Amino acid sequence: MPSDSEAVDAKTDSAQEPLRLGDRFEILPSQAVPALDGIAGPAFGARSIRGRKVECFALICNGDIPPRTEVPTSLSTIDNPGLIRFLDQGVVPWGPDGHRRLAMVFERPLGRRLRTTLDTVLEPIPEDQIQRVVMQSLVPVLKELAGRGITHGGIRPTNLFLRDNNGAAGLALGECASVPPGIGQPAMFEPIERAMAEPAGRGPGSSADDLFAFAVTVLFLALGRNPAQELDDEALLSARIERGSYAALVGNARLPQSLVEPLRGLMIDDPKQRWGMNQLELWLSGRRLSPKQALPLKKASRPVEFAGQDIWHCRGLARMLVRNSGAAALLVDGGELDRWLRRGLLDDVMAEAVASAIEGPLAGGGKTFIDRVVTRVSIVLDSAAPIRYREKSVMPDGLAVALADAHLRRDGAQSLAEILAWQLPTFWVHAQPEFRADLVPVIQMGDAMRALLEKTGPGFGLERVLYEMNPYLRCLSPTVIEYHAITPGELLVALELAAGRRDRARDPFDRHVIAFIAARHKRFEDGVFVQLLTSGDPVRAVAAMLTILGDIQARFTVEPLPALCQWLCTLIEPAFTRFHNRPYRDVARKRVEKAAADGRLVDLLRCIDDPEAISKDVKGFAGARRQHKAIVAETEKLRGLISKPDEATESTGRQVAAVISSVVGILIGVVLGLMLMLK
Amino acid sequence: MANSESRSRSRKKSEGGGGGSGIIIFLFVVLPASIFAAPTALLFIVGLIPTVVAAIIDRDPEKSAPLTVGPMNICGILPFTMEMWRHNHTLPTALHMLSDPLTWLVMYGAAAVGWIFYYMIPPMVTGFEVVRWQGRVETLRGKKIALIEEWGPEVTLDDEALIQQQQQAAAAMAQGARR
Repeated sequence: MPSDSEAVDAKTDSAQEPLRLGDRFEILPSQAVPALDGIAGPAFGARSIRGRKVECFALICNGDIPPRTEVPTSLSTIDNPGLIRFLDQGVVPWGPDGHRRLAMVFERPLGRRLRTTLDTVLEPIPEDQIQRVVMQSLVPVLKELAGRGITHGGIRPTNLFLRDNNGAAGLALGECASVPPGIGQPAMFEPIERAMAEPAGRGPGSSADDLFAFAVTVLFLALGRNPAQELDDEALLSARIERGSYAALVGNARLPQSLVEPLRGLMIDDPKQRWGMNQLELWLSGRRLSPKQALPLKKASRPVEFAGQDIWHCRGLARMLVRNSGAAALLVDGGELDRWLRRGLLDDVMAEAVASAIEGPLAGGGKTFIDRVVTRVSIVLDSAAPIRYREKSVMPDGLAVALADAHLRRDGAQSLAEILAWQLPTFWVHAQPEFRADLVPVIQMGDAMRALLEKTGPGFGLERVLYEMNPYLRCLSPTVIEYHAITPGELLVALELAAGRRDRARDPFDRHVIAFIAARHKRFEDGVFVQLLTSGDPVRAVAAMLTILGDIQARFTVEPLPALCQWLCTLIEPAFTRFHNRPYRDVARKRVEKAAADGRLVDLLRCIDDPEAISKDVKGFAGARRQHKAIVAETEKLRGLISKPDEATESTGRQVAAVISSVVGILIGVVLGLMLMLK
Repeated sequence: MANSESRSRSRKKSEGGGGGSGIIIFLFVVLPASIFAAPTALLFIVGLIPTVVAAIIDRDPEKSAPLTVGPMNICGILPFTMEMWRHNHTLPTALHMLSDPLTWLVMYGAAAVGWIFYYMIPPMVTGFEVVRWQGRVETLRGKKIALIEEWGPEVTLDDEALIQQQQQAAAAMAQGARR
């Protein structure tokens, strides 16, 4: 994960002219501000265009990390000097070929970033300054965030800024709007459970998690260095599990006595015992509380030997099991785990729960059987820990962001899908020692997403789950990923831009585009989406495409889309062949060309899906076939007559001869009669 | 098939009614004529021998030979009959006329003209019909080409071939769509 100060692939090759963000701000691509680069992307200068004197900067999100787009609306109403103020966001053209990026504008801190990296050693901040400057600056904003139900999720020394040049005005927390909570946090700033999860799978977190991160930050500043510099993340996590976070992080370091109490309280690993905002405020107001001692993990009377290590408690065993699933299966299947739980840990309830957890996957079988067993056993052994399945480790409420991250990195999405398919989030919720109403949505979400996963057609499957779980995620179709489409209307604009590219795909629709529309524009029945890719009938497919896109264009009042229409015209050719009448095909082609030039998708649809014209063509074709059949029959008959004409004309010829003879005879008779009368 | 049926039906009709009509003609035309106009009847009986022969030898149920020869044969008899009516309508006059070879030449020559009609006109009609049919075939060919141009070659297919062709086209389009 890149750090805050490292410029993240600064794509500054866009036009150097100022870019308007709505009607309030202008972004200055020519003015890179590397010192303010964030996890989400590089920073650039920005200015207000309403004449308001506010120094600001813009973060241009690279799009490699799913954005936190649901919170900024709330953040924009916070006007607290302890937090870099969020001002606006929007999508701006950035880079070649009309690519677009999400841009976020923040108020620019007057001072520098407090720490540029976590590895440098600096002079410790004195005790009184920590209390007066750090705590007094940050606690009010933490309180305000907690009051609004917003988790900052990015509290660390490298995300703190001086409010002025010399720091006299205090500190300000860096922005938290550009990335989901915890995604850029080093594991040491997270409570153990969240630290065990991968950064993208930590979930939204809570203010208690912010307070933990705040405590570690204070510890960092008080020591002037990274307290666990010599340990890697895994070793530090093991130490924290073994000894508790406070003990593992502080170690033998000498802390100012006055800070021991709040840090110990805020870094207690048990969330129920951890200090909350009230205790912190009481302490700040001068009331001294008795330091809390973290309760040690329940330790067995004898260790269980696994993977060459002696393990004394469930959390450690659960961690080891998921790393060695093959050996874990033997441990579980051989009954060693059951014996250790009953005799070593003296916990028959957990032993029964483990036995029950094993029974579930037995019904499913399959290749993932061992992985599922190990995951379920690990959840029972450590119910507060994330769901650890294969290489994935995610909190149930962090699945959405983890799934988006996996799609963006094209890695591990299948494992996350299996977590949902095997209902592991529901199992995790049921494994919790107490009922928690806040987890009910997790069960509901799990059931709903599983139902979507079970259907594999277009508009369903993993892609649909991705967009259902991440309502603000942009469409990740390779066709439009660079155009940052969050709404169906924006998707149409993105497709219009993509249509102009030479390397565009044959078909504007792929599984991502369909799933995106299915999740964001719930106006169509599932059958419409199935026709798009699997009907095998290109005419129905293109008609379905035009129906969907036309409806979006009409409802979102999207401007004319001539390039997209031209793109779709390349797919329409089979639609002409449904008409048998050749002249009408030409007429329809001309109509389509005109509709495409106008950029109205509905008109395009009308050209190829005109029931009256189709009916007329069908009737005309049937009539033409009948006519052709009659012509063939008559021609055959005539050819037969021509080949043997005498047979057909013999009788007629004699009749004609008789008639002629009769007529001539009558004429002669009449003439003779007249001659007789005249004589 | 229908044509041959109707032909045989008309043949039966003519065969069935031929005897009856002959008797009627004999009773109401020939017999009274023999009694009241014996000279004329004599001339006609002798003069119409070619027609009678034609009626006998003609196997056509429609009896087109006597119908062709008959009128001309009558035309050959008429001048003598009229001559007899004008001057002296008696049996001796009739016998006198019959004794003249010119009378025989005129009566039987006229019958010969009837036979010429009988043999010459049918081939001419055939030739005319063939030319007419060929013209019709050309017209139909033009219509067929116009139909194919307007509706495509599939208009020429029968139901089974059309379904097969549509299935193949759909499969080809689906394959193209998948590519």
